[in-house]
Amino acid sequence: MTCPSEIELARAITIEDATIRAHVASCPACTTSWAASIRTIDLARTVSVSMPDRDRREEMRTAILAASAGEDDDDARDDDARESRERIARRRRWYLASAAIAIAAGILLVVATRGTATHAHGTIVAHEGARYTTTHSPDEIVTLHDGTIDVSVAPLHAGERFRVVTADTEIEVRGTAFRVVAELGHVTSVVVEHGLVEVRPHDSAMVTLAAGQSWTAQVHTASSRTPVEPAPVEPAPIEPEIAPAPIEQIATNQQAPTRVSKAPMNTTSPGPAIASAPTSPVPRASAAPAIATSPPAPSIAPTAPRALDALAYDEGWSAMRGGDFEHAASAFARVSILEPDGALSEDASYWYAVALARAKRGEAISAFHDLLSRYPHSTHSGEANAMLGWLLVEAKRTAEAERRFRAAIDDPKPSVRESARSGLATLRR
Amino acid sequence: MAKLVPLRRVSGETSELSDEALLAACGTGDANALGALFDRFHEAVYRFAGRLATTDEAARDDLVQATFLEIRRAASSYRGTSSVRTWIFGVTANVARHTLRSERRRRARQAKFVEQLHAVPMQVDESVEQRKLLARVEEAIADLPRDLQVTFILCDLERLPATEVARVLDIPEGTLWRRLHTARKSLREAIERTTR
Repeated sequence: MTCPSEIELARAITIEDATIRAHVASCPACTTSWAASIRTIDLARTVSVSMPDRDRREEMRTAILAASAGEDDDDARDDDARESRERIARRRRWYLASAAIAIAAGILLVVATRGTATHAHGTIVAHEGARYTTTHSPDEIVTLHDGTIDVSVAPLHAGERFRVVTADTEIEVRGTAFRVVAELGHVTSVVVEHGLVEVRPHDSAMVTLAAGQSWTAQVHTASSRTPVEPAPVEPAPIEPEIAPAPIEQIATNQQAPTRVSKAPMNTTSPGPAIASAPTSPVPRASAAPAIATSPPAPSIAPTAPRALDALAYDEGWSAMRGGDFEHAASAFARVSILEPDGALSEDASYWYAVALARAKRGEAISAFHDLLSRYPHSTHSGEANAMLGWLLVEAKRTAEAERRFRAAIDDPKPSVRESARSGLATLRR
Repeated sequence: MAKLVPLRRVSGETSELSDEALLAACGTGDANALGALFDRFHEAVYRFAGRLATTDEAARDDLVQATFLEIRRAASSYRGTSSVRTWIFGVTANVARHTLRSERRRRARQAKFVEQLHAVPMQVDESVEQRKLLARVEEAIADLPRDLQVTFILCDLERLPATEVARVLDIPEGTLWRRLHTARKSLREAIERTTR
């Protein structure tokens, strides 16, 4: 065959063409051209592209969702202007259509005089003249354009976020009540009634506010804004008994220490995560992984002032001991929000998933997934895989359950291996 | 303070939806779906945008943001003739055509400065040579005309099916092969100049 054209050659590099490839193999000229193209492509593939860090990606995500909501806001305003030129009969029809579109879009435009609106995560009380828009759960963003709103947010769970954003500030909350005042898109003050709020002005450092604290933007121009630092949280010495407890302490609150056994107690609910619960279906052995081998929790110098994430961690443990697993999950989630890269974050992510499982919450599965994805080499990965396996058994996702058990089968901890083996045996039955 | 209302639980459905279902939901204005699409595709879009806008991080960020907003607007026009991934790259390419013109001008202004840097004598060793070569390849990709650049990135670097790329770029397949050939040839010549 005669030599293919350069374009035919280019096509053959991308799409399998046996005839041309056979020719190339026997033609020195085409071989040279082919090899040079392949080398060019290979070299180009090795050029790395810098990726934004996690914070930047989060900022971008927030900006996109907020801008998206803002576009709906603009659309609604444009439609309002058009509507004023229409006749009354057509106006009524348009309102109905707009409402349907707004509902379908999951976006709610509020031009409030004064009123209370309930949303997926809580309640917003708008003061006279307040204007805001919201997106819906799980990533709820309230874009405050002007005025004052009081916000109450119920504890959030896996994958759920609640933020108030303006043109110059983002406020992230997690189960709290607070007031935000804005003028023409700029936050002028934030007052926290209870819980924790992170205020992230675009032009200055983040400020974390606790109950009773407030933040005020003294001047509305970005250059002169000086946030008022919140009063420091009262330092509390760490007491050994409050320090993160090994899971057997929880277990013994529920029932007597259990003997390792392969036999499941029933077959209806996941075990390891709820290892100690009397009704647990899981072989008691599955409780053992965490019981026997959990590494000691990160230690914090007793004399050091307690960081907010440490306080949240302790709060989580207190709630665990008290059997309030919902509260515990919320507290552990807060640890990762306050210090996503902090020393406690990995442990908190693990206990967050465990707490959700013990609360019999469906989100436990995604929480374990998040943990294993974020910390693939976690010291808890064996336990997490085994627990996740049992949760997946209950969810009848047997293929993945089997993968999870297999991931835990060679764990260094005997109890984890035992739990994984029991899980696989259960699946075989 | 108003009384709290119970949470409405969303138990991770968006993470289990197919790309097509997410895009369809996005087309109805579902903000969650847009967020999920961002989570699923932002790395690919960032990478593509990074290759298109090589000198300015802000330009890249602007492009990514504009792309996802355009995805939301255009989602209802998706007809399933390509994968969602390819379609999103097509949207990015279209957005880039409109938003990156100033980036090219900026790069031209910086060219002299870059040349001065390259003129500084360097200690030559293998890794330095390799870095120089990769920098030259990167520069050569950035210097390609936008149409060639987009075709090369999508077909050769992102390895998307050529027929789908032609469809989302709205060009005949023959044009796509011609562009691909021209792009590879330009890059090859640039590399040869560096290694000579």
